[in-house]
Amino acid sequence: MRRHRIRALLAVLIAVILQTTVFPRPFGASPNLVMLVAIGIGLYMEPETAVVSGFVGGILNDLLGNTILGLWALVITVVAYGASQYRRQAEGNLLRMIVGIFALTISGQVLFGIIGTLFGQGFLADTSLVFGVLLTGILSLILAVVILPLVSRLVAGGRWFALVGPGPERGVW
Amino acid sequence: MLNARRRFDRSTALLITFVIISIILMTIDVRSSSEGIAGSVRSGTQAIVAPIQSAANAIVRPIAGFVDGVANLAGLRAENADLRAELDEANRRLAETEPLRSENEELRNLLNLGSLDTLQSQIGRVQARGSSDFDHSIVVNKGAADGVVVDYPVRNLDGLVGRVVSVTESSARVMLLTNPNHAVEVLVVGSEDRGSAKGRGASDLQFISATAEQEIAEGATLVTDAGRYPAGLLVGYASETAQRQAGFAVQTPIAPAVDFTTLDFVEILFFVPVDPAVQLAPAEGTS
Repeated sequence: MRRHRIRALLAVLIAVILQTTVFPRPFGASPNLVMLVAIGIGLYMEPETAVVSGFVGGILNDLLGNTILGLWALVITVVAYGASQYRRQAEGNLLRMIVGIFALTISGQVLFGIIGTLFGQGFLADTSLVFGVLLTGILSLILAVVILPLVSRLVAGGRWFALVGPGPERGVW
Repeated sequence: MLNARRRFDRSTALLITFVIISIILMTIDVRSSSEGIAGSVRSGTQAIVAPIQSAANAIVRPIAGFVDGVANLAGLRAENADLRAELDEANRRLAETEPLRSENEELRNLLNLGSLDTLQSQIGRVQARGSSDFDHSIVVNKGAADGVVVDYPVRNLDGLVGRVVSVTESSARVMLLTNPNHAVEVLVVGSEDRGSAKGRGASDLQFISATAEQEIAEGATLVTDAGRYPAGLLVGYASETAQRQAGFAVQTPIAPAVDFTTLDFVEILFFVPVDPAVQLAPAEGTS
């Protein structure tokens, strides 16, 4: 189990590095890779690991970006926790999984915009914010088809390319 | 059931703890204006991760180029034709303005002012972007070791990109013009109208002027005014015509001259605004 937790943190670290490099930005937006990996860990591992991974990924995202320190940490922690709580509803159901990932990604972006604005970042002044948030949600959903099976395989020993396949932690529920 | 309950409680307790820690960190960071401990930790992390990001870039950049190419395939032919036409027009204008350019250079020399062309600078390459679409900043691979300091302006071939906000030994973070926390003093070319251009994220910049006397026509060119930036750097073009109404400031969106989604090479200008009037660093050659 300890090895799986280290792998989860490693997955988050890789996601942060990729997110902050010259990641492809089709149509001027990019999928939120760190949030997606945190959602994957929430869906495939126990909630504690998801929350810790979300926080670590968020803090790294903050440290390597130019937003307020702690903002992404808060948002991705909440999203990872949400994913771990949603896991029972999504289990074995591809449609629910898709809806859940999309909703969690959008919620995370909206939460980030609202809290950031409360802390004086002026995100809501961006008139194209709604379009950007939706586009990021759609791109994240597309990328989820590749990323979630990888996360499943890496952190939970799941099958390659199995988006809704069972992980070893399922039994605890 | 009991096991599941205990796990739920532990994860909820962890969530609450991390949320509280995050809020404390945000408060400290905002109160210290991203300096102090938060700034030091950020610079330290950036310095550690910079080599990994460079290596990752070597892998990701060709893939990013391919994806962008595929996404823009349909428009490439038309864009090529447009660019050729624009190039012809630009060459014609360049020939027409050459005498004015010489005259400007001569006047600058007489007034003991430097020129943008002779300003010392460093060419850097984008090594990392902001951590999300909300983060309007980039990291370039030139830092304190190359003579870069905070507040230096950054441009590319198209125009003003932003300014340096933090520096490590080998890299510098640049706040882009589009950042909602960024504003630049601008001048409308062909008039004496001045104002500021404020970033609004992915949207166009917003030009605001309380003193503009004339209408700002759609397509009007806006350049930096003397002050924090050297005068004359291209910022963008008015997207809409704005008329002055009594008692109200003139406002209009500005389409930035720079495409911030495809930034690659940038030039960091060694410009130090010693005086509110235009002051340029001594020219010692461009590296």
